[in-house]
Order: sequence, then structure tokens, then C-alpha cells
Amino acid sequence: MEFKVTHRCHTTRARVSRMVLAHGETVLPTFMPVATQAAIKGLTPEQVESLGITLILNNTYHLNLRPGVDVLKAAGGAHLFEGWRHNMLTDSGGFQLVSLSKFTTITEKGALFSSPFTGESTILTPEESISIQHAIGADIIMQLDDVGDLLQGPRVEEAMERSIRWLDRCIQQHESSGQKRTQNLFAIVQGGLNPSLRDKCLDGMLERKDRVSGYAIGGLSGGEEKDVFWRIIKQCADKLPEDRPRYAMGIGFAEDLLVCVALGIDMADCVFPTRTARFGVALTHTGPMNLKLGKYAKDFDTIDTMCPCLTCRDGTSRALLHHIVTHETAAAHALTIHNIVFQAQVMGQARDAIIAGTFPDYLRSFFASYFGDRGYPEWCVAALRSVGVDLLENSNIPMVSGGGAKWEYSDAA
Amino acid sequence: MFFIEDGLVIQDPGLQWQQDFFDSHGPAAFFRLSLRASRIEVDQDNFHLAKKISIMSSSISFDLSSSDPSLNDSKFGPRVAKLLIRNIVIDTPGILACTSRGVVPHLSRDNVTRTKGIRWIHVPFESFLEHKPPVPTLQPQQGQSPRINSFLRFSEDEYLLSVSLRDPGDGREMPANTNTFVTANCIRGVRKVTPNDWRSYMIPCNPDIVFSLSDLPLTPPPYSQKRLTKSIERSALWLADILRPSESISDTRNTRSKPSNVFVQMAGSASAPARSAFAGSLVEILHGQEAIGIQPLKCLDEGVAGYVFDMVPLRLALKGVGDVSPDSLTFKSLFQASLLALPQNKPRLVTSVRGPHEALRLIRDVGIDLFDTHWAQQAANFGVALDFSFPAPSTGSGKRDLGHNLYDTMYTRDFTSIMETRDTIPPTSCLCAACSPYSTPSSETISHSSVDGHGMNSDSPNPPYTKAFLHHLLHTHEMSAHSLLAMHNITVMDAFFAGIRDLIPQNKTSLFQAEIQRFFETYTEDTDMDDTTGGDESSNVFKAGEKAWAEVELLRGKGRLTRESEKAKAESAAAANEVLRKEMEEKGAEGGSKAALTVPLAPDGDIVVG
Repeated sequence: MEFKVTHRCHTTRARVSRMVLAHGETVLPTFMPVATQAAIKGLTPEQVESLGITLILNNTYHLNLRPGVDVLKAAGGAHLFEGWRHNMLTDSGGFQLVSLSKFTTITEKGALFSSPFTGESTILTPEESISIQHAIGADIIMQLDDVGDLLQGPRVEEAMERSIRWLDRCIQQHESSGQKRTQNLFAIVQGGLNPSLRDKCLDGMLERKDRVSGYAIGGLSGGEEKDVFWRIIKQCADKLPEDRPRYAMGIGFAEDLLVCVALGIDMADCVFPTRTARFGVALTHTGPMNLKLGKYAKDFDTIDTMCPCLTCRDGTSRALLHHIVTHETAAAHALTIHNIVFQAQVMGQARDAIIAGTFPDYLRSFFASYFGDRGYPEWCVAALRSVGVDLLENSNIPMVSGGGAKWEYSDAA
Repeated sequence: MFFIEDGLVIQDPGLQWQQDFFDSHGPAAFFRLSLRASRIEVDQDNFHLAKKISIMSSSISFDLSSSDPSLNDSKFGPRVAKLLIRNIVIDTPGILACTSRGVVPHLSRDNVTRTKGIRWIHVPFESFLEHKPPVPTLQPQQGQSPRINSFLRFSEDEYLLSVSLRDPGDGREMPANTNTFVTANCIRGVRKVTPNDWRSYMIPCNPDIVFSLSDLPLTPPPYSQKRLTKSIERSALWLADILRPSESISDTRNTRSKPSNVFVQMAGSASAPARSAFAGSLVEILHGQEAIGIQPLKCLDEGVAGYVFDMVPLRLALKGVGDVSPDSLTFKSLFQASLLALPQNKPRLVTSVRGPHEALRLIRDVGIDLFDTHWAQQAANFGVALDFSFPAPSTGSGKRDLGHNLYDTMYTRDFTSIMETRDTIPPTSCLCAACSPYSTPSSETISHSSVDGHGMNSDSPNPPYTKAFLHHLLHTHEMSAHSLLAMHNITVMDAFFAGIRDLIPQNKTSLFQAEIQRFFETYTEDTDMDDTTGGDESSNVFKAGEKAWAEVELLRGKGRLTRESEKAKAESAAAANEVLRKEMEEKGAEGGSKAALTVPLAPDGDIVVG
């Protein structure tokens, strides 16, 4: 991997960097859409490519179940199997073991679970995870970590310690495989919501810096308090090395993304933008737009006149989308296209602003447009203040407490 | 019952006489009489008159110049033509794509554009009835574009749109129509649509082609003679209604006072005499009040731009006719009964044709010009990738299926493209986005920042998608499978008709006949299982695909059944897990054994559509 920081924000910790992998270049910071089972739901790889996306995520857990490693090997890897010729990242499969299977048991050897199809007991070890990811062939692969089931308590420390031990086993497996030149292993920082455990984990993983290509921050996005979330991100981003990409796992709300970028994060992924599209929600610069609501039934405007996505450029009206969302797969496609482009635009405009030296202004104008009608979430104000940007300065938009995630639940809202 | 006046076949007004005749002499005698009467018709005069009028009264042109005049039975022989509306040319025999809720199922707009075979799109209007007035009628006028094109975003420069009230492919039982309204389906239930409603929706929407309301029964068959008579009478009356020039004030805000091109769905069900009688009522010169209503037209047919034959209600009706099987001879005689008295210079359209075999017979025997791709799109829904061409490729061994049921595990490791085989036969080239993936030039790729785009290498095309990949997408319930299959199947149908068009013109008729025969010998037809011609269920890839699709749906599941099976699975899995944990303890696995995790299942938020 070739990784080079090219621009830095003069105020915040945000940065622009070039990451060159075996399937081309991706400029960071960037958001990675999720192609869980070898496809961004409803789209073809060419469509995703035309949206200006150069890095997607595949899920190891799912690909290992179907089509399975043997088929992927026969196809020559996931890139060839699914027709994606740009960069790809795979997770370790560990997270899905915990989130999708009720009956996973974590032991030192690995994660013990019963197959959802055959019911037969299987163990996913760190070595096994890496070798599956080798068969998939993603440009970036993740260590198997002990995700833990709780954000607090003694289990967190155990999981954190074990994640470091498993990192060593993953490194060992990766280095002995001969895949090191084309595939890059990332470590995952654990430690729950406990700053001292996070610190301990960071120390342990930084010792192994020469043997890993990048760092992810795991164990967040589990419903924790937003005020705790940003502090953990900041703590990790501050301590992680300058010359390695930093990846915040499972982050997808626009406000979270921009706060993370300001705190020094380079990459993020989440199923949220594509999943919410399938439920009929379009993401916009003034907040999510729930097209199922009756108020859009006779609204002949496009979702966003400034949006370069195919759905908006084509003039598809909110009324037409209202008519088809949750009934026609084509509606899911139209909104998936829009939401992927929205996320990419938020991050792309961040890159431009960082390069132009106007990132603090970009943050202010984005947040004013996004939260102007409701007030700034307190945690966003605090997080951005920590890197020298005060949203409240020269602003008549109030600050409000709570998570602040915007949503259009009903016509009344 | 029929007489000739000014070169037109004229029918005695009022159908009561016919019904009485039918009742007292039986259907055969009735049919013979109808046929005799129709044969008196003077073809050429009728032809010229109708041609002149069609140019006069509508924006459609249908140029049949290239059909084969040497055919004996030129009225029903195969024919090629060019249909022109505005600047859109449709070559016939050709296709129109079906829509659901106004969109081509599974295709985002860019994928519609990519599927070059889609030029004519048919839109059933009934889903829009959930609002009154229907939302497309409220679409702000954009330049000269018809509102329905603006609303559905099918550019009028690229696409021809036709609109019917009902979905012609939907054979579900419906409450009976009455003299004053047709029943239609929308998501909020059954809606009653009067001829006046239909006019008031279609005038502002202004599609290129409107299907007039027809009374096609979708109640359980059989249909009595009385029911058929009503069906004919209503359909003719409702046709007259949509042809009536505007008089009401509410219509004046629109540029047009009546829909531009009206196609009529041929009534008469499974009765040849009834079909013939309906056709007669189209060419009958009207008098009195009726004539005033449609002025300056002299007969209804002068206002008709094309004829529609609907297979779904017809197949249903045939179930109620004891001694007639739904075979090609039956369709031939029924469709010919409809067309015999009508001018031959108007397009003939068939909805819901069941595959290429049936289409070929209808082209050969009845001179049908247009077919919707309902069957091919349905196949895409069920995971079947079509694989046939016309003329059929020369192969030695046995009959081939018309497609591949890609759910079949034989495709798990099949890394060939859809129409490619693993033996030495060179692959048929298919131009769809699955077999010939397009490539977005770097210049057209959306750029999100000034530093994007280096190292984008998208100017070379991707290799074709493989059967193994599509198989995977189907089994993982990924929507992309159906997108790729829909593009492929529509493209295969388009290429099939292009192959037919090449063979019909002059001097090639015998070749065309021979190639039809060879096609029939090469490919197994998709037929109903209750047909005598059908094999057992597993031998039909379409049935097998549908079954596999249903199994995957069920496995994935929604609702009560799923929750129940989920519960049963959880109970057995809990027990299994307990055993597993004990095993691990006995083996002395280090740590963690006391920390068996029981994290609740993530809520099912996977896909909400489909």
C-alpha cells in the first residue's frame, strides 16, 4: 500500500491523503458503501463505478457462507467473481458472528458458532478469518477481533486483551501467506467506552505498527452516548500514527462522518445509507427525507436540485418516488444511487475544503444547513470545539441536547 | 346482419338480433353467418378509406409497405412495418416493455437507458388511482412534453408510452364491471372508473397511445352469451366515449380535447362470433345521436389507431369453454374472427404472449405486429435467464430449453456468461448489460472532489457476468440479480424479433416458415402444466425457477410464518449450543467458556421491497 497525506486542515485534525492499493487509488477521507453479499444491493458494479466510488466493503462472514471460499477461489477472488475492479475491503467476520448469531461463544481459540444453514458447529479462528480473506482477495483485510458483547464491564478488558493477541496471530498468518504485497492488514482498536482500556489497546497495537498497514477503531456505533463516542474517536485518532490510515467502523450519519473527519478519521463504512434507501429515505443536506410520507405524494420537485446523482439529474420527482418506494425494487435502486452519491459528496466536499483551507467554513455551512431548523446537537458542538471550530460563533442557531440524529417519522413531524 | 354501404361492412345496429339468432341456431351457425357476412367486405376500399382517415385524425403512422404481397392470405400473413409516433420509430414485429407502478420492474433509469430494446413502454394506470385525481394528471406541464412522460421521466424523444387502465397481465379475479364503470386495482383496494373518469385522466396525461376502456371479464368463467353481448356493447360504447371530442369546460385547459391515438382491446372473449360481432360494431356506420357523438368520424374504427389482443383474459375465458383447448388453432381462429372485418393497415398488439413459440405462431397465422415482454420480465423475476435466438442456432443434439433456471445448483461454479456454453459452440453475442457490461467513461463518472479520478481505469469494459455470480445473487436474495436478468431477457426478446424482421420481407416467406419449424424443433416450448403438451413440472425451467424463487422467498421470509419457523429454529439451536459449549469445556478450551454470548438477533432490516 502506498499511503501519503497530501493536505492538512490548518485548524482541525482533518487531512486529505492518497491511498494506492492493488486496484487503484482512493483519495481519503472517504465513505465506503457496503456490498454485504458481493453486491451493493440492487446495483451493478458498473453503476457503482459510475457514481465515482473507488472503495467498497464486502462482508467476510456472508461471503464465506455463500458463495463460499471454494467458489471464490475458483472464480479467482471476489473482484473477478462480482465484477468489481476497484478497491475492496473485507471485515473479519467477527462482528456478524456476534450480531447475527445468537449462539456464538468466544474462546481464546476463536469464535465458536453454529452455521445458520446446516446448524453444524464451526470455529472461526484468527488464522481462519485471514485465510478466508485471502481467498476473497480484498485490498484491505481486517484482523479478527473480539468484539465483546457489552460496552462496559470486565468482559471489555478481556476482549481488548484478546484482540491484541489475535492481532499477532492474524499478522503471523498474513505474513506467512505471501499475500502481503497485494493485501493489507488493518488492526482494530478495542477497549469499549473506557479511555484507559482504549489507551492500553492503542499502546499494544502501536507496538505492532510496522506489521500493519492501517488502524480501525472498533467497538463503537453500538448505541453509546454520542458524547462518549466522539471522545473515544478523538482519543484514538490523536494517538494513531500519522502515516497510517484511520478507519472508524460502522459510522454513516452525515454529522458523525464530518465530526470524525475533523477529528482525524480517513475512512468509514455503514449500511445505513443503503439500508435506509430501501426503506424509502433519501439523505439530503437538510436532513433525511422520508419519501413514504404523504406530504411528498404531490411534490414534483427532485430530491435535491444540486445533487449530481442519476436519480436527481434525471428529474425523478419526490411524487414518483413516493409512489414506488417500498413497492418497487427500482425505487430502492433510485434512492440507493442517491444516498451513495450524497455520502460521497459530503466526503468529497470535505476533501476539497481541506485542500482549499476552508474546512472549518465547510463544517459551519454544512451543520447550519443540516441542523438549522432544529438546533445543533450539543455533542457536535463539543466535538468540533475540541478541534478549534465553534459552530455557535456568529450563529443564531441554538444548541440542543441529545443525540440529534435527524429523522422524518411522520407527516406531523 | 351485415350489409355493405359505401364500401364498408355495416352491421345492423343493436345486438339483440344477433343474440336471438345465436340462441336459436347455436354458435356454429352464428359463426358461419358472421364469416359469410364478413367475406363480402371489400378489402381494398376499406383499406384506403381507413388509411386516409388514420393520417387525418392521429399522429401515428404505420407503414406496412414491406409486407409480402405475394402471400395468398395477406390479411393474416406475417408482416413487417415501421410504426412512427413523433420521431420514435418502432420496427415491427417488435416489443413493448411492461411496467409496474409506472416503472420497468427492477430497472433503475440508467439501466432502462442501457437496455436498447426498450423503446415502447406500456403503463397500466390503475396504481395511480389511490389518489383522486391521480397524481400524474397534476404533473406541471414541461414544455411540449406529455405529462405522463414528464411524470414517469421517460423522455418523449426517446420513448413511446401507451397507457391502459388495467394491467393486461393481471388475471386476478375482479368484481364485475357494470354499464357505468370498470373495476380496477390499486393498493388501497378496488376502484370504480367511469368512461368519463378515464377521459379526464388521459386527456391531461396525454400519452402517445391510450387503450380505451374495454369490458374484459375477469370473473370466473364460463361467460354466458348475455355476458358476452354486454361486454361487446360496453366496450363499443366506451370506445365511442373516448373518441368523442371534448365538450366540457374542464377539458379546455388541456391542449388536446381527446386522446391522440386510441387502441382498442378486442372484446368477445373466447367466442368467435362474439369477437366478429365486436369487430363489426367498430366498422358500422353510426347514425343519429351516436353519429353526432363521434363527429367527424363516421364509424368507431376511423378513430382507432390499433387493435389489442389480451391473452390473460382470453386464457381465462377458454377455461370455461368445455370443448375448446387453448391451442394455437383456437387463438388463430379467434383472432382472425376479430380482424376479418377490420382494415389491415393498423398495428395489432398482443399482451402477455407466452414465449417465442406462441409469438411466432401469432405472427405467422394472424399477422401480429407487437408483443409485450411480460413473459420475459416474469422469467427474470423467477431467476430464469433466457437463452434462445431466431433463427435458431444449428445444434445437433436434442431439444434445448428457452433459458436457464439460475437457481439450479448446477450453476454454482459455472463461470460462463448467460448465453455461453462450456462446450465449443461459440457464444451468441448478447448486447445486454449483463453479457456485454458497458463501461462508464471516466469523463462521465461522477467526481466528488478536485483530487478524484486519478487511476480510474473504467474505460475498458468488464467481462460478462457469469451464471455462477447470478446464481449467488439469486440465492442471497440480492436485487441485482433481477436487474441483470431483466435487462438480459428484454434484450433477448428484442434480438429475437429483429431476427424475425430479417426473414419476413419479400421472397423470404418460405424461409421464414422453415425457420419457424426449425425453431420449434430446437427449443422446448414453455407451456402450462395442465396442457396436454406439457411435461412434468421439473422439466420446465420456468416452473422450476418459480418454485426455487418461492423457496428462497420463504426462507428469507416475512411475517407470521417466518416468526414461527424462527422460533422453532431458535429452540433447537439453543439446545445445540448447550451441547457445543459442554464439548468445548470438556476439551479444556481456554477461557471464554463461561461467557456464552446471547446477543439478540439484529432486527430484520434487510430488504423491504420485492
